[in-house]
Amino acid sequence: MPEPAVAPVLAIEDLTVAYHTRKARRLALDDVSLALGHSEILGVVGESGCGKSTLGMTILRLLPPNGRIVSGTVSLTGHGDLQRLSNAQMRSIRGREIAVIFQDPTTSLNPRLSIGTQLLQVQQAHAAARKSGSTTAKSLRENAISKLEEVGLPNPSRAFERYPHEFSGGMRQRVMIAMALLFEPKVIIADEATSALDVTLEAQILELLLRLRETHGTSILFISHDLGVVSQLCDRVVVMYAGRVVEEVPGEAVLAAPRHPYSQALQAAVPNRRTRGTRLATIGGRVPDMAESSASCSFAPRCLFTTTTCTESNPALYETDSGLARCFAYAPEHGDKWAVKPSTEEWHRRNAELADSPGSGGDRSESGPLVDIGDLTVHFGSARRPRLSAARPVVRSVVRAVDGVSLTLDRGRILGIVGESGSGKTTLGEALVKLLPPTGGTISFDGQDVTRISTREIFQFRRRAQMIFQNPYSSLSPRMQIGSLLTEPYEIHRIPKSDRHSVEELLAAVNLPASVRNSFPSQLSGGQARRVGIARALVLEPDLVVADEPTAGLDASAAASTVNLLADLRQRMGLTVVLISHNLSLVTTSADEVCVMYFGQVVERGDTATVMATPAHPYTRALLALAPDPERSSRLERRRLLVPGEIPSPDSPPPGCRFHPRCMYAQDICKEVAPKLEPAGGKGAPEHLAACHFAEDVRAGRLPAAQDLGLMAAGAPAGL
Amino acid sequence: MVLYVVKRLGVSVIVIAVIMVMLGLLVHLVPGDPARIILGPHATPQTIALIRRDMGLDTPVYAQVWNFMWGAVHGSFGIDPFTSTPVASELGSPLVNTLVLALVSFVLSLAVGIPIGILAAVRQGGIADAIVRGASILLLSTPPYVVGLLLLLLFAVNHHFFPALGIPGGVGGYIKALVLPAVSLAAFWWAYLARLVRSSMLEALGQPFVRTSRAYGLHERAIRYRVVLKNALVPVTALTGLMIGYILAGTVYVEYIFERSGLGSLAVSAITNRDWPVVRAAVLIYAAAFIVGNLLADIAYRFLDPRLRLEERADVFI
Repeated sequence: MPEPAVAPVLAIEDLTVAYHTRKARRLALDDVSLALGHSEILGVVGESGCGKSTLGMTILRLLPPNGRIVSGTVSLTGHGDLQRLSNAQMRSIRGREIAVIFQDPTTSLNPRLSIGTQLLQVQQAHAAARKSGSTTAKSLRENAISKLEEVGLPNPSRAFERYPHEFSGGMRQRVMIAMALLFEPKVIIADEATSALDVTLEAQILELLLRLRETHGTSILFISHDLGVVSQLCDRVVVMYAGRVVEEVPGEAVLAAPRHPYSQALQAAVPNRRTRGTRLATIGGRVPDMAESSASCSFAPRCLFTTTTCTESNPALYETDSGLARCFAYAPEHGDKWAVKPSTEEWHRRNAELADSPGSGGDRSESGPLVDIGDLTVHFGSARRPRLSAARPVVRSVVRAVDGVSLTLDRGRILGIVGESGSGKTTLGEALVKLLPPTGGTISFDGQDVTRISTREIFQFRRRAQMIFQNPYSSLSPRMQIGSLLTEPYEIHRIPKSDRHSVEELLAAVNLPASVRNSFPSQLSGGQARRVGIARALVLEPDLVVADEPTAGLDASAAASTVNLLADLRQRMGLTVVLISHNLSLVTTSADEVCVMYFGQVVERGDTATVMATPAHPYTRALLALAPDPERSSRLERRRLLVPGEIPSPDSPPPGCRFHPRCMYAQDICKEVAPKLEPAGGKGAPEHLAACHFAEDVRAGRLPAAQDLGLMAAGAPAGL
Repeated sequence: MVLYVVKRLGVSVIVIAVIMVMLGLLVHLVPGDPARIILGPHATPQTIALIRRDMGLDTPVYAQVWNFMWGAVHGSFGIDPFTSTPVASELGSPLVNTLVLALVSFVLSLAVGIPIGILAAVRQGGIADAIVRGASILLLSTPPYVVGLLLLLLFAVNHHFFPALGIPGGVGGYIKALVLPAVSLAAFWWAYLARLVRSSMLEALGQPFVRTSRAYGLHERAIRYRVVLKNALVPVTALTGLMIGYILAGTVYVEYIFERSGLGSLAVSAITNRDWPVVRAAVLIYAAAFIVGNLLADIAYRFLDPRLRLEERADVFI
């Protein structure tokens, strides 16, 4: 493995951290050693509960009060062991020598203080410690504005006066990064810094981090649960499991050649173009809570390659062909016990053997369209309301969340709707199940026009069309037990007792143990709560289910089992599913058809395999290119396909093609004429539609000359 | 922001107008002929007619309402039928007394309640916190007039630190006489505000952006007073509007207990006597104070929460 050429900037040695609660002690980090070299990007991956975030907080000495460093050292070059520093000395290091970027820029910035105030506060906190440079208000302000400019905020001096809510998510994260850069720190800890962002924004932020490393020589500790992102960005990757480093490899190798079974299992759970149509592999069980350092391999209980050696003694880090792995399969003295070396493919195979084959109710007698929507529009804040003050006509901005969408969905099919946040995909889903009234257009369900139906009819309709909401914790009543949550739909619809399923049956349908019936939602894990949300949507045996981001916020393994579950239920119950997600790989794995939305409109639609193989819209192309893929991990290729900027302000769509300001192939015609959704011209795929003037060329790979949109420069083209 | 203030101001004017109409109709909403009630059972028809004319009861109802509103806008509330002096001049010095009392209690409430709340939050789990929480529960569960009576007993009757009743002459005397009434009004709000500030401060301290501040090397002191306090004071701002109203209403019993001349005591006796012009004037002043208080609080609330300011902004950023 590549050793850092000079002494590491940040060195962690034998670090053990434990949390103490009244009842128990929990080991969060177990003898972790790692070194972050000068201008190196080191990735730390693992499921939640593996100690990744604890690592970041331990470095900053910001563990919660019940967290304690049991042993080990964290040393920063020039300061030695950070634990020996006084509180004041440690404060002067935070933000100045080691800065951090948190996951959610929405909550990590103070909503009531302007960006400028927050940047100034950080600088003032260190003003006394600054030896060089003046610390006048003016120079601090100039420094802050120059950093805002560096991270690509358009009009930085104006942004300085603004408040966090006035920025989009991507821009807010740039503000966080600007804060991290104020003092040009030696180390930046990025704790799930891109996990809350769309793929396009994520790619932009990753580019920005790469550029910062180049210009400032900053070392970055990149903490993430996303194997794909880490492999794209990092020079070196450390995989953590249950508080231990289980694998250490060069960045590309973590997707191309993971060696530890845990890394392989994580990889197998991530959908990509090869997993299409197959069940995603999952990891059984959960990350264990341990009070003491385990005497055996801590992954053994969940591993599919376990031998007796694994459960009897503790593996060390052994050298593999790509790096180090804490697995006996690579130990010189034990290696021969594995006839088949652990590999992702083998994990897939063994996992498939384990999984009970989905019930074969596959042959659906009925077919034909279930949902047919025509030219559907959903606008918010419409100006129809007459104004009292006639003195000055107030022009209210109209947000065209869904703007002219037509779709047909056959029974028993899974339709995936993909798009960035702000594309209108959730609004479309909510309009489909009549949670939002359409502004125009028609929705017909099972041959019946449901566009404008009475409250009573909507009530009837709800029995047949249900929604699985994005966040189960906020969409399930926190004060009701799971059992009552699942039977409530029966009460609401007054279903006779004889027609009801028991709670046990309902729970079993989503692979949950009957024991959770008396739990409250907050007591369940993210994956379990999601299953309860799914079960509740299925209680009334609906024909249509709209699943809104069913895997958002879940670990790879939990996400994979949720996707598998939806596919099974479709098989067993003949369910028709609308799967809404910003994750194209996820949709392409499980959906029969895809529909790509941009700015309230469908820009491409068709059979999943066709769209994936021959995307006919530049936007789809870019989304596909951004999805991590072990076979094509060249950073350069991805860089070329970056989609710059963000979806523009929702009340003022750009003229012509709505995508043209962000499209690097845009021609003059795109700025004036809005393309229609038309057949993309593929032979044998008449239902492959795309809204692009050059759809046929894009599909065939004959791309017009790419324009330089100043990919990273301003982030947003003029006029946004 | 300006648009918002104008809008809210407009709404306030409408509300006050509606209240005036109702006050104008008040005489007729209460059973019994006001003139007869004022004059007693032995009045002759002639004197009743005379009083009715003085009170303007012989004109059509809409004219009565209009005359009341027109007068009120110009600061005139008619003639007190009992004393035959203009109501406006009768109101003068009691109104000043009441406003001074209310204002002092209001300032006292905030000046003591908020720091106590901050202290309790900062020392969460400590002795100071325990004392504040215990004392505030005690104060909140004691009726305010009991607090007033206890103060009176303790500091004016048993120990003659402060005058017990009335308002003596001279600036020094006036201030001294203000202390006990103001404290007995403010005590409830000390308890209430302390609890409110404590909990909202603790909530704000648990927000992720506080973690950001810590991770960027801000001192705990800076975090408390420069990062968190603004967030913690938002609910207090929303409350201040209501506080103004409640404190004004509280002056009624405080003035009664301490025998202070004021709008409250004036209103109480006017209601007993069915002295309609005085009742109307007093109620209108209370209502106006309530509305103005809420208006100011709403504006301040908006000022403190930048997210609420957004919709007026013409150029939404990015």
